[in-house]
Amino acid sequence: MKPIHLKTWLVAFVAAFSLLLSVVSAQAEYPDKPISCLVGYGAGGGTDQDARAFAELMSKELGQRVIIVNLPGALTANAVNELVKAKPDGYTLLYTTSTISMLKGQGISDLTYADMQPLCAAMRENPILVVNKTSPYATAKDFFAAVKANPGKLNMAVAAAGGTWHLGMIRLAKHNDMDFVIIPNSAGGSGMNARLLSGNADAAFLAPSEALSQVKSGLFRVLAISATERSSLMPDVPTFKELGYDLDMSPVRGLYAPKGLPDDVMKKLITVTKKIVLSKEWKEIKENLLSQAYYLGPEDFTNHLKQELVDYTKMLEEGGLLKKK
Amino acid sequence: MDSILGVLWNCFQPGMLFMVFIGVAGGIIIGAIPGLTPAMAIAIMTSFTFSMDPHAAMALMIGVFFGGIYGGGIGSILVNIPGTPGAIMSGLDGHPMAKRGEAGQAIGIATWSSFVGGVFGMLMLILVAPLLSAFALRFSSPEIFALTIFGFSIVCSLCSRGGLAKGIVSVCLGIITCMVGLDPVTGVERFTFDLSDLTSGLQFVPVMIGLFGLTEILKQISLNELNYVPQKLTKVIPSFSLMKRLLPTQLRSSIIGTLVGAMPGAGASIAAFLSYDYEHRHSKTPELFGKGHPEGLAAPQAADNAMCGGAFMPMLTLGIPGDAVTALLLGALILHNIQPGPMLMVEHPSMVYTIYITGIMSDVFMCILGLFAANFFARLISVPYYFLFPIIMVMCVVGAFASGNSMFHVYVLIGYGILGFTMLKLGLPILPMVLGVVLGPMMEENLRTAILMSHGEIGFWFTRPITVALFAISLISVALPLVKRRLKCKTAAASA
Repeated sequence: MKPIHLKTWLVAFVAAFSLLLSVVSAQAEYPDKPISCLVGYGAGGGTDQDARAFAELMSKELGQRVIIVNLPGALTANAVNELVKAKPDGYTLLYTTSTISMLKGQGISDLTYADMQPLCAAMRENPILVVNKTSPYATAKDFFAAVKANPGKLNMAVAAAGGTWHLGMIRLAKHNDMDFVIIPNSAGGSGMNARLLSGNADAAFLAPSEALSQVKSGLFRVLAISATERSSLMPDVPTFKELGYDLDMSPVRGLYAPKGLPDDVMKKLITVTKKIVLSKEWKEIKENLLSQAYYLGPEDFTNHLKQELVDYTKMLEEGGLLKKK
Repeated sequence: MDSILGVLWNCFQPGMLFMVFIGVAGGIIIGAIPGLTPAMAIAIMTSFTFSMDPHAAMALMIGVFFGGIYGGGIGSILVNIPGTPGAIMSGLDGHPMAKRGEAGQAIGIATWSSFVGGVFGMLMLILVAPLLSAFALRFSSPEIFALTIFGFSIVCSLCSRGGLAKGIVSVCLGIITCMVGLDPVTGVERFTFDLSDLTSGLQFVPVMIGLFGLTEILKQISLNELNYVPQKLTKVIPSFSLMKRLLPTQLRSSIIGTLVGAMPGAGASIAAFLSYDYEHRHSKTPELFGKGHPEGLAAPQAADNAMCGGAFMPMLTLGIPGDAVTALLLGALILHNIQPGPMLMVEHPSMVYTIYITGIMSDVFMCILGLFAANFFARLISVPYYFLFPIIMVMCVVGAFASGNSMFHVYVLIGYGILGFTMLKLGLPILPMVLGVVLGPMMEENLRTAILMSHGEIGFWFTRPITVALFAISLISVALPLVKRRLKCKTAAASA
């Protein structure tokens, strides 16, 4: 018999060791490899930046990198499809907005929150009604009085056509018998702000983060906020409800997983996400953007989404964008 | 360190110099590869720069921005595949130069023009930002619509001499491409055939790579003999007399670039279109354009890079970004709790100075790096075609895939590559189609928004002097060559 070569021994040893390692790692605690977090928009948008900040904090808590994977297109339906198809092992997650409740109504996808495991709500953003500081309207009352007095004459800038803000304004106009011209902007915040600053729109309905520098520097005056109660960041701004208008939309961004997560993974993700959303760091990041850290656990979040789906489907119907199958 | 001298000292620390240098070098490479744009790179970088000093983060991102905008032209010159959308026009005269064996010289001209344009844009930013951004804000929907109409009139000078009908067909093909997806004003789906991938429309990057890259490869393959062009690898730095000759072109283009940059909603590609068109129309030798004329390369490169400085204007003075990249930079500053806008100069003067200084530094690095690497890049196309084409093909496919992380974009690339090749065989020019793809969506959205703004009154259009002026200029620029030709025929007939 030939003597066994040192190299062969080495190979055998490495093989045995790696086998051992893989056995150990199979039993190791979640997570033992990087986690992908899907985002349905391209890099650089509001949701993407939000998800990246959240992923950064998650990486710190979990000790594994949480990597953002951008899957833009089809109004986030591509990313949602990918999540539903993914293995429910906790290594594929999705960070998305309330668009999730509009996909079915718009006929883009049949998937809803019910096809996924909602993990937590992370933040909510209350849209505001703003005017240029040189505008004659000092309060929301002035503005709405002007709308009533000049039907079809005032221009209201909103972000993307068919998006939540657009539908919110259609609803406001319909329910309160108001007539103003809604001007959507595919360029989002920058387009709206330019329009308002140059006097080509009389008001804008937008997320505070879309006009942050203008609101903070006083170039824009905030007239009203769409929320159930006044925001602590803008305590002087009345809600639409207070003013007598039925509008309290406040879209929620949160984290989702595929259905059927193992119990230990689920438990770990719940503890970690709760800790992050309630942390001082996350609160600060959100308040810098004039939005709110907002925590809902899996059950509360699911209930919230259930209601949201009903509300948004109704809004789509009112906006004439509902697709019946 | 809030004084300008303190910031200057800080910017010349080795760490900061390194950041700008790495940014510019990385940006040039990202820009030169089709499908990878500086906007994409900066978007991904923002989360990594979160823990960095905001000044260093800004220096790095500005480096990538400036380097990337310049680098886009390299792909256009070497293989006629624009690396970034802004570089579409650079291939028109840059690529014929490379085909003559003057790729090094072409890159030299492009680099020098980019430097002049870039520095001009930054100087304008430092000197007249509040003034210009206030003017640029007056370009709302009706004005931008008029500007796109003026942009389309370029087709007349691109396809003169009987080719105009084909040019218009080509533009329409481009506009049809943009019809797919969600309606920009109502949000209703159009031409999506119930395919969820089509709801976001056909993306510009894969369409562009298909029309330029794949078409070019198919064309080269269909030629029976591939003629190998030896590259002259000497004197890439333009001679002093050439520099002097190009200076007026560069300055005019820089003014156009800075202005377009300052308008929110217009972009680098428009700046390049307009400046090329202006130089072409007002040249004493218009027949030389499109055949490797140095002015035709200097104009779009200078305009593209001047656009960078212009795009910062509304961002720094009003908090409104002038283009996609400054929008990301604005987001990055906000993450560091710095609000760009009217209060920036009061609250964070050091940040404003850092942007000024690192911007000019990026231009200097870009110029040095570009001139040093020109011969290296020129040598790349001396690689035998049976190696070069497969590599370009792979880069095109990867670029299309990377633009949306999806195979769908690769299918779009292939589809448009085949369409481009078919058009070539039918004698339809491709550039007007790209013009349609770039200007089409802007034209549609701004026209429809302007109609909303007008409340249906036709008189509204006449109350806006800039709009009226732009329409008048477009009309003149379309009609003038026709009138001239008619007159020429008449005088010829009279004398005969």
